[in-house]
Amino acid sequence: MSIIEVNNVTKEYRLGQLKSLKHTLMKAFDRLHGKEVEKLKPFKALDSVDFKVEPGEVVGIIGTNGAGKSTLLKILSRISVPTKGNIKVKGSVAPLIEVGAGLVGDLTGRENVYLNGSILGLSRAQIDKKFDEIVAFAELEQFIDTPIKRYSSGMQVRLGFSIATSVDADILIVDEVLAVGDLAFQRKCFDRMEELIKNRGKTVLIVGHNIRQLERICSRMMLLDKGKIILDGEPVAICNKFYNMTNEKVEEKLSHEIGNIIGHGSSGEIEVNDIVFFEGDNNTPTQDLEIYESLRIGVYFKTNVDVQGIEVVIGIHTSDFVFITKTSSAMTPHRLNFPKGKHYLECNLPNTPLGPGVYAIGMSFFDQYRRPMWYGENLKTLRIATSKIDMTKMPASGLVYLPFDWYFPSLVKNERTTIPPSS
Amino acid sequence: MKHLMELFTYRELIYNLAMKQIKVSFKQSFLGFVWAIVKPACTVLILTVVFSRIAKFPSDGIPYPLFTFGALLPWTFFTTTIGAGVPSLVSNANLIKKIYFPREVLPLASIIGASLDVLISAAIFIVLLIFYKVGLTLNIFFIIPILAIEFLFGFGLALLLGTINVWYRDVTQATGLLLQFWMYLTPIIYPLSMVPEKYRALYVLNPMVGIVEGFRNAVLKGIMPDMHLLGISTALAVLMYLVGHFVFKAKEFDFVDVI
Repeated sequence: MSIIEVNNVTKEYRLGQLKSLKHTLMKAFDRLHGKEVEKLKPFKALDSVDFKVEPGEVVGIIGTNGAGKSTLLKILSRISVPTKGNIKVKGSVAPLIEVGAGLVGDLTGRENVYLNGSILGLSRAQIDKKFDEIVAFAELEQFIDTPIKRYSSGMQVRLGFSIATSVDADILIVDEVLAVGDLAFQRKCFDRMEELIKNRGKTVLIVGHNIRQLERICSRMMLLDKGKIILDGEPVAICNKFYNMTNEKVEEKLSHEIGNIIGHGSSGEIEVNDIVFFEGDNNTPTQDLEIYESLRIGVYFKTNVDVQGIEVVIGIHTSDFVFITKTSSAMTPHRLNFPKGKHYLECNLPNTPLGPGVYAIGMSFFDQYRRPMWYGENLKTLRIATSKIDMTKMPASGLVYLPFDWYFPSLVKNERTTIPPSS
Repeated sequence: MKHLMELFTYRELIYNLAMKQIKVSFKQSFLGFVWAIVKPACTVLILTVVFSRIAKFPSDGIPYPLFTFGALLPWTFFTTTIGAGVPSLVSNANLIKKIYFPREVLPLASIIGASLDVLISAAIFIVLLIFYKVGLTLNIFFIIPILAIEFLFGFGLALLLGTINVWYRDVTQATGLLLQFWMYLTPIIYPLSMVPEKYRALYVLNPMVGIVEGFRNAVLKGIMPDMHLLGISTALAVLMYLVGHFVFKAKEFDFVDVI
């Protein structure tokens, strides 16, 4: 028994601005006289979307901006109706479309709890019962009788989140609400979401851009692109495909800039001409590397003036800009004085412990006073593959796979097993 | 019928939204609800000075302040219904975009919230009735169906104009102007008897004529309302409500896309 059925749903919007009343009347007049009227082109925000959700599933919906994610959630929470197709929802729906919708600045925290609760479909009796819990979770006990326009924006958002998540419904529909408030509160929100999902067995649909968070709490993921579901399945696989797709776009952009790599800032003293990757001792540049193989990063650069005592920093980040590691030439004993001209440097990472996925290089040059001379991120992408390692035996997530030792003294004396197996 | 049932399940929301409106209108206001007394009192004072003392309008033998207040009260209820109901969808756009509930909740709650002012005016009116020692008769109970008809008419019109207002904000501006004209086409500052006989048939097609006249007669003269006039008002009110409801329901789900 599916709890949500979405049958062939299409949602069209008309592009363009609604003109004045005069404009509309003139057009109606023209139409009456049989004149041709230019029609606005419909835009398909959703295009024949078709899927079912079973009770207890936690479905994450990802996709680039404008892929139709929010439109889909709006249709599921009955805010908007589809142009074609239909949806069937069994059970009550709590729409957390956006935290704090309908909070009123002039009312006190207490009054807002009751108003917002009833907007979300809670009865007075239910709010009475949950009131203390809501206030305690938002950490606003002291301020609950103060008009919320005197609250900081973080406090308002905390109150909104606390009310919204106190709604008891079979289906939760969440749009980008996980990251609210300061870091400590974000942690709390995330725990609350996980608790709602895992302990109470609710069916959840979440839209978000923080893909790592979604990957963690979802049991299923869908990738929307231009109004269509193009991938649907197990979170880790979908996420990786999504990263690859995002990455191909980035690569496309980068490949137009052959010959010179454009940094995000440059003083003009140094230009980076190319960055290349090599696997092990192989001297053919590649962008695909096997996990635990050694990675050599080669940089062709040109100094337009003589530079003294410079520092080179190279970093690796994921395609969504989570920085993993950095290394600096300042840690070497060499003093880097380059005369004006073309140069090459190489930086070697043995046993690359990066998990399977797509990464990119960031790089910066500083002069001896640590003034940046050139810097950039997402300069060149690197794919890590895992054909040698049995993925079914690997933990499914994580960014780095460090070489841990395992030791079982009661089973095997004096023998340590290292991962990766040293060949 | 199904709509009414659903609306009933949302009664707490309607109550809370109406209370919000009342609370917000008194927050950070020094005189608070005193304004609700001062405003109608001043209007009646001005109308009395201008139209009774200066222009010498007749008032069917009733003291002029009482005469004009007796009509102004139902009229204010009507303008409040329109004034609060029409912009309620646009001003609650953030709710419409984010949360599902039957959309009639918004005009209904706004109208209820705004009607508190009318209720306060009614209290002053009662004081005035006592002051002038007006003898009430059982016909006073006619004001209940009269107000019901008036609400039906006003709510229907508010649904219609409120819907159009979602597409064209001009409606809010135009409504204010329309109500000004409408007031002079309704026997509020002058008696119905002042309207020339040859225009009378056309004049009474304004449903507010039967309502205002009926209300004033039932309270101040203690006589039954003119059933012919009230019949016209009732028919037009039902028609207005059906049209408003139909248009509103047909467009309800498009609000979110255009608001």
